[in-house]
Order: sequence, then structure tokens, then C-alpha cells
Amino acid sequence: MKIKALSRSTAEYTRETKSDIQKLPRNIDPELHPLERAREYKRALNAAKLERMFAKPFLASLSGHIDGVYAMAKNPWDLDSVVTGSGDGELRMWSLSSQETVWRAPEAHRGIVKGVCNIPGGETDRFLSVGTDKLAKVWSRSESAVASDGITPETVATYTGKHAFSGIDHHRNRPLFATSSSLIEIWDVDRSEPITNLTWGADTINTVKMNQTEVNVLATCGTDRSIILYDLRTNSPLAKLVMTLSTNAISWNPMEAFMFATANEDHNVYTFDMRKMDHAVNVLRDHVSAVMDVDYSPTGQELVSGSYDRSVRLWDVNKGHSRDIYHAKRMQRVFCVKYTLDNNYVLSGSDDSNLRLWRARASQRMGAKSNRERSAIEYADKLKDRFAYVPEVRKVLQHRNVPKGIKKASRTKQDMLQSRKRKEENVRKHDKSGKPRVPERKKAILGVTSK
Amino acid sequence: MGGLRKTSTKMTTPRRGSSSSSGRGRGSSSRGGRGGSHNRPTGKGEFTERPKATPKVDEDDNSYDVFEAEDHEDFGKRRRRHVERVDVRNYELDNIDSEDDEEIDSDDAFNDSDEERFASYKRLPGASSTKDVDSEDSEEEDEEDEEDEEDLVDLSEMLDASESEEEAEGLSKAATLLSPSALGFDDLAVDGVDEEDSDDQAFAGMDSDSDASVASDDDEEEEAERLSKLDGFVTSISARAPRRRFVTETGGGYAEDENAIGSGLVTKGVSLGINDLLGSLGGHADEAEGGEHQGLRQIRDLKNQVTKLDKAAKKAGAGVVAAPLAKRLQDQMDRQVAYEKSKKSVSEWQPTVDSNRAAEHLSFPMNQPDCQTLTTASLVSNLGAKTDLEAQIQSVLQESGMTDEQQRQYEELELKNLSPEEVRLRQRELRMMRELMFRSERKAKRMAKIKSKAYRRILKKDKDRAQEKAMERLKEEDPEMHAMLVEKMARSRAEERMSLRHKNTSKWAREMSKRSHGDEDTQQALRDQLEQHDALKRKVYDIGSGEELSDYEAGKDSDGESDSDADMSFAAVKSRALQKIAAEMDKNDAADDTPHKTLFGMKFMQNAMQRKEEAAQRDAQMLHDEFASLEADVDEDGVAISLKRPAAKKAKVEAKAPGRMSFGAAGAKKQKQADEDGDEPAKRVRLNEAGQVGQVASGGGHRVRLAEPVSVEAAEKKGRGGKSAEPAALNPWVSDDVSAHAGQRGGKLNELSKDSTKLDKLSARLRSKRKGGAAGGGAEESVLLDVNKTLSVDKPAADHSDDEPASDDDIRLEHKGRSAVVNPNAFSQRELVEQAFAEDNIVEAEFAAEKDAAMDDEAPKDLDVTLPGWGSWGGTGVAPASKRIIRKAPEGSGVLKQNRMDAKMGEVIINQKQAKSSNKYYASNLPFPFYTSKQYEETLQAPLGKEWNTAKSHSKGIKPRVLVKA
Repeated sequence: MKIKALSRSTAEYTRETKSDIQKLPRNIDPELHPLERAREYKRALNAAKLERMFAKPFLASLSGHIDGVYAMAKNPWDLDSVVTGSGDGELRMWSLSSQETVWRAPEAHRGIVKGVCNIPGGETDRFLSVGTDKLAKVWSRSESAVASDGITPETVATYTGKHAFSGIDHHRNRPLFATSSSLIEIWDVDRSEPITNLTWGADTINTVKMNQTEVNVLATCGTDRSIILYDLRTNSPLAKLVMTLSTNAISWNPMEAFMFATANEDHNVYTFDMRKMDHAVNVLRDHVSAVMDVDYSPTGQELVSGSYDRSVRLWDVNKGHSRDIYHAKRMQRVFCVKYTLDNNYVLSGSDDSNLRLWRARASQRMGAKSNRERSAIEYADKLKDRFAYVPEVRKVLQHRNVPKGIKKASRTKQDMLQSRKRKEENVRKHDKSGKPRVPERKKAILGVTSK
Repeated sequence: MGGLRKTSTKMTTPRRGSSSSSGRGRGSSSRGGRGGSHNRPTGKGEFTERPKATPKVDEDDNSYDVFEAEDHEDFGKRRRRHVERVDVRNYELDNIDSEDDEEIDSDDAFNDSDEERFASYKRLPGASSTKDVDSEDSEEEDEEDEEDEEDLVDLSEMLDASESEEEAEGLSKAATLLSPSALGFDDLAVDGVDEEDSDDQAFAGMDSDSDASVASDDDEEEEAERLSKLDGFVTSISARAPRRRFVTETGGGYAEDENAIGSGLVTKGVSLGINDLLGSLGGHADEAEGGEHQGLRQIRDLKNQVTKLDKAAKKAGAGVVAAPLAKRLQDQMDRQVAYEKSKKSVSEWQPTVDSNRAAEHLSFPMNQPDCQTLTTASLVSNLGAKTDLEAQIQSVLQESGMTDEQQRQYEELELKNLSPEEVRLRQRELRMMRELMFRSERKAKRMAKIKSKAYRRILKKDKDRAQEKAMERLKEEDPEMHAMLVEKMARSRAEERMSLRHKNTSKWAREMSKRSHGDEDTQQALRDQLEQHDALKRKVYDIGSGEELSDYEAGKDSDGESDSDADMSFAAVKSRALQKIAAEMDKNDAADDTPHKTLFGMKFMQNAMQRKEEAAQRDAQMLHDEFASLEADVDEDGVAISLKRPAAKKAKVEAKAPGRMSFGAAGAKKQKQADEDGDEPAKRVRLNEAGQVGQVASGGGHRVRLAEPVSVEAAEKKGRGGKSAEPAALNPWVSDDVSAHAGQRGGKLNELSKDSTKLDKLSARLRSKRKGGAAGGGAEESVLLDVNKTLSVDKPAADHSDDEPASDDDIRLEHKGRSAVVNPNAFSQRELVEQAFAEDNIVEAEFAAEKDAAMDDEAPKDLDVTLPGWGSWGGTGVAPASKRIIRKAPEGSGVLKQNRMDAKMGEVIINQKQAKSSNKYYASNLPFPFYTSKQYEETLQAPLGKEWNTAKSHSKGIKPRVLVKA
């Protein structure tokens, strides 16, 4: 007869290596672990507190420009490099890891550099820049080598336009790029003249952005408060959206081809579906001054926006308010922001001539993590999400120290909005026509037309 | 095209401008098309033949009618209308007076001055010509048409804007009918105007028709002639203006070819269709001769195709292309269409986007290319020298004949030298070897797979035995060698015991243990080392010497010996056991003589030791006694079958067996024994565990014999006044359940054993006394139990030595059996009910007071914060200030009495207190994605932590929605 003895194998409690953790047998009998809700709540609260304790978003300020930074381009094929253009016509290429300038062209343009963009494909390190001097120039770090510091290197190519340029973007997979001035010009890289001119209306255009997924569609925004979509296949405009105030910047969602976000003068960021532009998909409202630039994260789940109120805000695309606000004592008006393509950092260029590097998640720390550490962080995150609506946790998670100016302005703005709303309600109350309420998502839109 | 250009030079300047302006209308474009495409292939000869072709036009027309029979008649009327207009010459010019209009001849209608005057005026489509118009008329008409071509744009536009397509079609028919060949303008045709004609030729041609024809006919003229031409050109330039007038007047300069005429007709509001052109072509085709047959066929095919297309277009209702819209409108429509198209194309992303949005988890990068898996096949196929070095080596091998291929060839050559038999033999050998290898391999594999421990053990034993045998053999054969081996083994063992060599303490082992994380091989190596250690350390037994046998082995042997002595007589065993015990006892006695120092020398230790020894002695004594008293049933061989004890002792033991029912006690026991001694036949009753009589199944563990007869009936009779027991038994409140009592008692009695505490015993005694009282001195039957013969032998020896419990005598069991003795203390049913509801009204009052208190407690309370002595004067004769400061209860702080939920409910208190401290655990309002609080609650229900989940569900639960791998 075989007798089963109570036994434990040594393998169960012996470490294989010194660095291994001691395995402890555990019993998941719920009787032994009472009060799970209360304990998890406490853990969530602690996690929230720790998150705020470790929230140190600011990483570096990259200085070197003499004038404000007004244009910025990230390179989809090189995480480390970013190109900026400043108000005095200087171009700089930065290495983000070493946090220094690796290449510069002091007098790249006469006047402001209005736009920079990389030539996609990753075969070359070429990039384009446009300025108010009616020139579009092609540069390359390797090809247009710097003879000595302070001397502007040779351009690879130069294109001459008829008007001062205001923006540039490159086609995803064809050797075409689009510039905006008082009209949209489509340039072939090999030709000195634009191959197509696209116009609709006669006002100055602020910027042009090509869709990187549905590659032939491009969006522009003009000073006539309009956002116009064009299609390169038909060489024709598609639709025009007119809003109450003008739009400063546009960003296409990298994951959802038909979605784009706009940075508006009315302090809000709007996201639109290009097929149904009669209403915004979402209105993101927290800034207290005009939003100057907006950029999607590479996951398409988040947004970063820079504003004239000297702050950078991070948003969840599906929520109405920002999840974080970044500000620095010396940071001035923010004119360009970018979400880096590893989804981990945010860049902002501002009037104070500095390029700033921020963490995308303020309390996140980089570096390799052990499995335990990672799962602990994930557990904490999930708990925070789960109890985020409970007052105590919410208070901890939402609290931010904001500069006095912004705080005051937001309070004033809130008063204004409330009184406006009150007035509207009063008017409604005494109005017999019984007009339906205009949803917030439609309020800022004057109309959409293809005519 | 020369012809076209020629006519256009004759046109007035505004006309020219208009003809060059883009997007004018259908008429102009069709004209261009005709000029461009249809005349080119036919070439020069065609034009010279044209006069002959004229009579055929009617046929052509007929054929045309055949193609478009259904429309022809419809348009006929309209055509006629136009013809009438032509006849009337109703030009509808605004500024021409009616009287002037009458007088002016058509030829003179537009002279030079008129032209200047009316250049800017537009003319409505007035005139067109028909078949039956005579040649001169038509000549004039065409002249005018030509003249008025400037009106073309406006006219066609107007037509496009106002007239229906049908009408336009009709007009085109009219144009066809008025083709130059039909009208017989043979002399007017510009013969041989070459396409390659230079400008000067063209200009020369303008001088006169004959001039033009002459000039064009002779392509290889001399320079002198050219000079003369130049002269002519110069003169023509000088005479341009008046001549033009002349041309316009006479109409001699136009209609060099059909194009010109066509264009002239369009001015009348008639547009040309492609059929018109083909019609004329067909006419020529029919006329054409031998060499051009192929061309003709092509033309016919073309015609057929066009006709088909035309028909199809008509069926679709779009026989004629609509005029282009205004640019603004066109752009609008373009944009709308383009927008729709773009929407459609971009919507192709919708499913992807939807799935991403709905996905529980997103992991980036999303479509990462799979890392290439290299198969053996792919590696082999690409095998070859890749680097320079490899190539070099390869070439060297090649040269020296060392490549695989070369080797094989060499071997083949060698084989050729052998005879076939040898080769066969060798092959067989090889095959045999291979076969054997294969088999042994398979066998080894199979054996290696066997998991049976028994098999392994046997295998090991076999191995050991074999080794042993080998050693023995060696010992016989070569003792020296054997001795050396043994010594070597002993040495290695000794060394192993001294060193830590195989204890995984070496540097290598440490390194390995650090790195061996999950590496099975390394771990195996480490284990092997340990095993080696064990193997080396194991003692080597030399069978022969015997001196190295351990105690254990010796003991085992002796045991074996004793076992084997199973047939030893019982008496012998007993005596041996007794001897041993005696020896042990002696040893104990002798042991404690030695004086101790230190701890063991101390008094208390010595006392303790002594006590221990005494106990041991006692045990030994007991054991001795027991052994001594053992009797055995001995079978024939003298082997003990079973052991017995003397009866008297057994009884003593068993009566006190713990956990057994022991009815009766020592007092009764004596009697029982006496009974037994007297051999009085006892009445036997069986009781089960609950004390129920006669219901015990045989073979149960609780077989009990009663020593005396139990008079159950007698007890039953002794009730209260002979009352029947049955009804009382039905009432659970009143009845005195015997069986329950008995069970209880039985249970209690079970506890009453030698281990029972004094308290238990005391309580048992009390109980029995009380019962005696309750029964009112009723007949008691003490039940005596004899359990002697049912109990087993193996009682611990210690039981013998234990003292009898002191109170054994006092415990007396009174068993009432099933007698329904009514308890005098028991209540009647009525009494019980009365008692149960005795204080109901009191309870009600109490409840009301309690509810009032609860209501007051939860009601909002004003707070009196008056501080006595503050804010008032003190002293004698001063009345105390009546002003009190009361702080009102804050809004919503409590629940008003009338607002309470239980205000109108009589017997309920609903607690409406809010635990403020728990407020912080609740979300203040429902979070966004949820519709009900229940939904939200459900998300919080299941805990996430490790403590409450399995590892798998925990890691699943905490997985973030968006995961980005850098």
C-alpha cells in the first residue's frame, strides 16, 4: 500500500538564484483576507498620494535660440532628434537624449521660421523649413554640413514661393509637400514651381496639415475662421467649416484617419470627424487663453496643447477636461507643442526662446522595471482608476498648483461662462418660440459647406 | 489646319478673339474636333475629288436618316421653321429700323460701315437654310453666316441655356444637310490647300481663289515664283481691308472646305454633331476606289461605332453633352462630389477604428513585423560563402579536393576497385552495425523512459550486486588488486568526508548557482555533484570482514533472527520477555548510585529523577505482571493463537474503559461480581447509545449486558394517578421525554470515567439525588451492566496502576425506562401561554418610548450656547438675564419628526441616521460612463488585489488598456 505523506518539495521554497524573491505560500481563502474593499480603497488613496508626490514632469529646458521658438518638427524615424525654428530665422536640431544642439543654421531664413517638417521615409535626414521670406528650404544634417559654428550651412535645395509662407507639411509617401500662404501650393520635390495651387476663399492660411493615414487629404485653417479640407486626388477642396473664432493649429489623429483636433482662439481644443463637421466630436476646455498648438499622441488616445496662457495641457481625447497642466516659472507663451513618438515625452517651444522637455505622465519613471515593480504600478493605476470618483481620492488626484494668473483667469472665465449661461436660460424661459438648446459641441460652429 | 486658319483670317477681329476664347460652347469645340481629326487621314486628294462627291450627299443623308430615323422627322418641322425664318430674313437686330430693313438687300446688308456699326451687337439665332434653298441663296446665307460667326458664342450659349437638347440635335442635322458638297460649291472649295502651307502661302491664297489654288498646287516652284508670291503677299497686305470687305460681300473666300461651311452654319444656331462629319466622310468613301478600300472599311466601322454610341446616348437621354456650367457652380458641384468621394474612402477606416475603440486592450506598436523565423531548409538553401574569407577558404578546399562533393567522388572511385562480393559483404556488415545501433538506441530510449521506482530500485540492486560479484571475483582472482581497490575507495570516502569538494561550495558551483536561473542542465550538473558527494561518502561494506557492519545492520539481523523464530514456544518468549524486563528494572536500580555534580547533582533534579525512575519502575513492574499473567491458547505446535487475561483483572479494567457506557458503579459492581460468581442466570437486555432498550443492532460497538432484570413495566405503572403517558408525550412542552433523557444521560455517563473531574462527578451526584426526590421515592431500578466479555484485550498497562475514582461508589444510575413520569414542576399549557404573553402591554409602551427617543435623537437640534454669567450683570438684586443664545440647527442636519419614513408606521423604527464618517467612501455623483448606481457599484465589487485573486486573474485585472512598448 502506498502511503501519501504530507511533504513539500524543496523546489517550492528554495530560491534558484540569490536575486530571486522568497516564495511564500499563500492562501486565498477569503476568510483570511477580510475587508477587501476598505483595504483596496486605502491602497488607492495611497497610490494617488504617491502619484502626486512623485509628479515631477519637467525634465529639461533646451536653450540656444535667441528668439522665440515658433516651429517644431519631430522625426518619425529618429526618436532622438527634433528640429526647431525660431523668430530670428534660426534652425536648430536637438538631440533629446543629450539635451543639446547637434546642428544649427543661424540664418536659415530672413524673418520668422513658420514651419518645419521632416521628409518621411527615414532614408535621409532631410527636412524642410519655410519662412516669411517666401522661401522653402531643404536641409540635411549630414549633407549640409556646418563649416564652422555660426555659419549657415548650405541648403540642399531651395524653392521660391510668391507669398510669405505660413506652414508646411510633407506627403506621407510621395515626394510632395504642401505649403500654405495665401493659398495652398503643392510642390513636387523635383520641380521648382508648385504643381498645384489650391484655393477657396482669399484669406491668409495659418497652417496646413496632411493626413498621414488617409494620405491625400489635407486640412488647412485660415484667418477667416475657416477650416478647409482638400483632397489631392481630385485636386479640389472638399468642405469648409467656419467657426466663431479662428483656428491656430490642426493635428490629425494618427490612429483614426478621419479625426482631427484643432487649437482654437476661443481657448478650446475641438476634435472633429471630417465626415460630419457640423458638430465637434469633443470640446476640450480648460485653457484660459488662445490655444496655439495641438498634437496627438502616437497612440491617438491623448492630446497635448500649448496655449497663450503660458501653459501646456495634456488631455484624454474622450474627456472634456485636461488630465494635467504643465507650467514653469519662466515659460512664456507656448507656440508649439509635440508629443514624442515613444508616447513618453512632451515637447514645448515658447516665446522665451527655450525648448522644454516634459514627461508625458508626470509621475512615471523611465528605465527597466522588474516584473513585480511593473505589476505593482499597474495595480496602483487600476486602483486609482477604480476609486477616482470617490471624493478623497479625486481630490488628491485632481489637485494642481497653478500659477496665480491662470487661476485668476480661470475663475473669471468661469464667472463669465456661468453668467452667460444664466442669461441664456433666462432668455429661454421667457421666449415662447421654444427653440431647442444648442449643444456645446455645436456652439462654436457657424457652418459647414461644400458650396 | 490650313483651311481653318484661312477662314479665320478672313474673320473679323472680334470673331477671332471669340473663337480663341476657351470654354465657349459646343459648336466651337465640335468644329475644332472636325478640323483636327477627320481631315487628317484623308489627305490632300480628298479635297480635289470633292466636287464629284456632291451628288452623293443626298444618299449620305439618307443613310444618315436610316441611322437616326426616329429623330429625323421630329426635327424636320423645326428645321422648316428655321428655313422660313431664313426666307423672311428676320434678323431681329435691335438697331435696324424696319424701313431700312425692307430696303436693304441681303448682299448689302452688311457693308463695311455696318460691320463697324454692328460689331458689338449680338444676333439672335434667326436663319438657317434647308435643302430646297437654291444655291445662290445659300451662297448668300453662308456668306452671312461666315460674316456673323462672331455671334457663335452667344448663340450657342443661348441655345445651351434655353433650348432643349432635342432642338440642338435638330440644328445639327440641318447643318449636315447644308454641307458644302450638298450645296454644290465646287468652285468655292479651296483645292489643295496643304496642311503644311506656310503663312505666306495662306496669305497669298487670300488674294483670290485661283491664286491660292495655283500657289498650293505647285509645291516645287522656283524662287522667282516665290518672289512673285511675296509680291502678291505684299500687295495683299496693302489691299487687305477692302478685300476683306469684298470677301465678306461675295462670299468667295469662305467655304474652301466643309469645315468652313460648318463653322458658318453654327452661326445660325446650328451645332454640328459627329454624324455630320462622318456622313460626308462616308460619301467620299463610297466614291473612293481600289487602293483605299481598307481606309473605307475603317471609316465604315468608325461610323457604325459612332452610330451605336449615339443611339446609346440617346437612349440614356443625353444625346448631347450639356454645356459647362458657370465655373463657380461647377466648382461647387465638384467639391460636393469630391467630398462625398473622400468621405467614402476615409470611411474604409471605420471598422478598424471601431475595433480599436472597442478593444479591451491596445498594445503598441500594433502591426509589428514578425521576426523572421529561420528554418533549417532556408538556412541550407542559402548555404554558401558569404564573406571574402569564407570564399577564400572555399576556394582553397576546392583546390585541394576537400569539399564534400569531391570526397564523395573519391570514395566512389575507391569502391570501384573492390570486387562486388567484398562490397556486398561490407555493406552487409555496415547494415548490421547500423541495425544493432538502432536497436540498442531504441532500447535505451525506452528504458530511460521507465518511471517505475520499483524498476529503478531493482536495477540499482542488480547493479550493486553485479559490482559486488565483480569485486568478489576480483578478490578471488586478484586479491592484491581487490585490496588496492578497497583501499582506494576507503581513501576517497575519507577524503570526501573531510573536504567540501562536492558540496556545491566551489567557485564554479557558486557561479553556476547564480546563473543557473531556469537552466535545467546547469542545475542537473549541480545536483550530480551533490549525488557524487553522497555516493562517495557512502560507507563501503566489505562482506568478508564483517567488522564494518553497523549497529543498525546488526540489529536488523538479530531482528530477522527473532522473526524467524516464529515457531519458538510461547513459554520461551514469555520467559525471555520477563527476563528482559527484570534486567531493565535492575539496571534502573543500579543506575542512580553514581553521584552527580553540577546540575544533576542538585536536589530538585535528583527528586525529579527519582520520580521518573519510580514511574518507570512501576511501568516495568506492571508490564512484568502482565506478562506473567498472560495465558495463551496454544495450538498443537505450541504457538500462541490468542492471549487471555485472568477474568477478575479484566473486569476491573473494563468497567472503567473510557468512552464506554458504564452503567452502575463500584457499589453495584460488587454485587454484580457476586452475581457472576453465583452463576445466577442474568436477564440480558441490550441498550443502544441513547439508552433505548432492545433496539440495538447486533455487532454494534456498545453491546451491554445488564446484570439484573430490568422491570420496565413496574416503573411505567408508577405514574401520577395512573395517567396515560401517551397524550402527555404528544406535548413537547409538557412531556418528559424518556429517550431524550436517557440519551442525555448516556452522553453524560460517557463522560463519567476515570478522567472525569470532580466537578463532573459532583454534578452527576446532585442530579441523581434530585431525581430521587422528584420521583417521590418511587421505585428505583439500578441497572447493572456486565461488559466483561465484550471488551478487547489490549488495555494500556497504565490502567492497572490507576486508582479507582474516589466517588465511584456514589454514582448510581437510576434508569426510569419509558415511564412517563410527569414532572411536578412542569407548567400546564395554559400557564405557559399566560406566562409567554404576560407583559405584552408593557412591551408596547416600552417600544413607543423607544421610538420617541429615536425620533428625538434624529431630529434637528437647536443648540443653546448661552454661557452663564457672560453678557449680564451680576450681583444682588439683579434678575438673571433671560436672554439665551440659541444656535439653530443647520439646514438638513437631521430628520424632522413628521418627515420621518416611519412617522405613520406604528411598530417600526427606521433608522435615518447618516453615518457622516462613511460619506467619504461614496462617490458624490454618478461617474460619466455609467447609467445607474448599480452599474458603478458592480465595477467596485470584485477586488483586484493578489490576496483575493489567483495570479492569473490578478494580472488580467490590472492590465492597462493602452500598453506601449518602447
